[in-house]
Amino acid sequence: MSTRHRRAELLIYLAPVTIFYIGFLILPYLMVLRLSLFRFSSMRLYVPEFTLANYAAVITDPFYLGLMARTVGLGLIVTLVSLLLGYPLALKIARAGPAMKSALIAITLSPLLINLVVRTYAWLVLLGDTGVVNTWLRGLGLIGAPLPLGGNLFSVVIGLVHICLPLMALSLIGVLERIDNALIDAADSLGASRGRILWRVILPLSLPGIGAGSLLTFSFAISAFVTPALLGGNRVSTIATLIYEKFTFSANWPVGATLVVVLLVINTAVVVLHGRLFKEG
Amino acid sequence: MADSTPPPSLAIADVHVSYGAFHALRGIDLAVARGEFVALLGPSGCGKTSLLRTIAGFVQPDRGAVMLNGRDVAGLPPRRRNIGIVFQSYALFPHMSVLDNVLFGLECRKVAKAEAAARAERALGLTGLSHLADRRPRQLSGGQQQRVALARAIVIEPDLLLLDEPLGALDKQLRVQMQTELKSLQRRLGVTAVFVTHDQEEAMSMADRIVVMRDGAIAQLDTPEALFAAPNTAWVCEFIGAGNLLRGPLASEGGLRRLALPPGSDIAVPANDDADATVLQVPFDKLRPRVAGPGEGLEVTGRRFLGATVELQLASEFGTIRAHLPPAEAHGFPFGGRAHVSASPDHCRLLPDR
Repeated sequence: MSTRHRRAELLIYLAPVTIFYIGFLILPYLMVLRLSLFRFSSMRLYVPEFTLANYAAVITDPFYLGLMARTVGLGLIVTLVSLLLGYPLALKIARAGPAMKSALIAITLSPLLINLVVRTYAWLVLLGDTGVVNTWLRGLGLIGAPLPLGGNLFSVVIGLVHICLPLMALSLIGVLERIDNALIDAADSLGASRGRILWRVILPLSLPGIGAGSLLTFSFAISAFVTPALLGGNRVSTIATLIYEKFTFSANWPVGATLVVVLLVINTAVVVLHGRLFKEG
Repeated sequence: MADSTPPPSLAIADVHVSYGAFHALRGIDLAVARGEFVALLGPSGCGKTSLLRTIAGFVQPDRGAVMLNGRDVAGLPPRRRNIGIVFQSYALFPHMSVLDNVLFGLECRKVAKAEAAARAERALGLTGLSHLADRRPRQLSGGQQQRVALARAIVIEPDLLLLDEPLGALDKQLRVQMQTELKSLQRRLGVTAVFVTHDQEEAMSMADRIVVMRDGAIAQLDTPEALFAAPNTAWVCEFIGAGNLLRGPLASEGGLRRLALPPGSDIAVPANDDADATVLQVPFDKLRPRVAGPGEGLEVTGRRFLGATVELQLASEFGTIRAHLPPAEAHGFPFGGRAHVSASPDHCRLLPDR
């Protein structure tokens, strides 16, 4: 096949998805970028005058800086908890027999089968002051006042981990499954304890899975809107919830658009960092 | 007790292993002396790998004992057995350098840094890898990886070295070279070694003794020479390629039993009391063909050039008789020609047909 022929074929294959992304991703982003460079007007939402004032405000105002730090912090907490819960789970699943493996993977993925809003409300029902957990604990006489389980960072982390754990576990399982059993046998024969096998062989070889799972989890957690909005009870604000607020109640579209760009930059930075760290694949 | 003989490096008594309903090992007894090199030889599924894994401690036997240097290792995991293993796939740690691979076993044994470095250097030197210490395994050729696996296994100064088809992944020429190297290294270190192979040539060229395995049991245990000269069953003879097996009516005749071949050909074997022994074995190189006239003797139905010898294939009613002779002598026997064939009874044996 000639080079020209091959190029033409490539174009035909890639055209639909390219058109889709240009129309529904790139163009909207460009519109948001343009909006972030306009001046805010309380009368007309925005005035089409070019300004960097929104970025200056977002980058220097301690309120926005604190918000960004809290959002990144939330992302890190969710990633860490998902990793700590997901790693042993993935290890067991990766080493299980075929039937057991299918069952465990189905259970692990089950949170993804429930609608996001329904799942979030279910957590509200469970974790609220008059929710299932507090009611039972009080009924059993274990606690006097309800524990602060809902409407705070705790419930947001729980809700996000619930969604992110399958993503993390799947990334880890894929990598752990591919570790040759002979390597573990070899380490065993050379005198390595279980702990040393985990630390010196399995863990280093699963780093790509840890990286991919963490990337997915972190990006998902810092961009999530429904979970922090519903489970945070107005007490947990993230970049995403503030974007919503800027585009609705306070009707400050330029600053809202600026926050969208900031979130995109953070996510892009994480992807680039991941690429650097896991260059070898 | 000073003059008592030391216990064998490895002693196995009545070992049984089964996986579910499958009986992989059915009562294995084996003693390997210090410094001995023993091959476990057999077709796939014969239990040789199960036996190796049982010795290593990856598989716990249902019954029977495994003793290392007189110590019963029942229930001990591999890490407590001080056994060096060379895996078929080499199983090198891909995220570590060659040096770190070799150091791993010493790290597990908490050997002091300076001593560990010296021992690793020696092991790398012995295997000719000193210049590759900083490489990652995937940057090495198959033969080099094989050497790393060997260095990693011997650096821990194991009581026993196990090798699972260690040369199976190498091409023919390299395999022969590595056979020689492996053997001389084992000699030099004086380490007791057990290695698994399905390649009878490899077993013959390296082992002091060969354990021929079949269906989870030992079919024969002997030195390569004895095995080749005197296989104890037709199956073993066939498996190691120790000669022709002729199944035909044998006429008793004054202390000899003679195969009913056409006139001019003569293969007979000294009579034997064993009623089971019904198959006549005659080594390929002990047959002497003579040119026969048209319509006489046996037809030459095939010729195979083997390098040092030529194999003539002669059609008899008891199956193809294969005779190996020097190329110069083979000229007189063209494809489609006729030949008489005979052998001295001294070179023929009767084997049980199992």
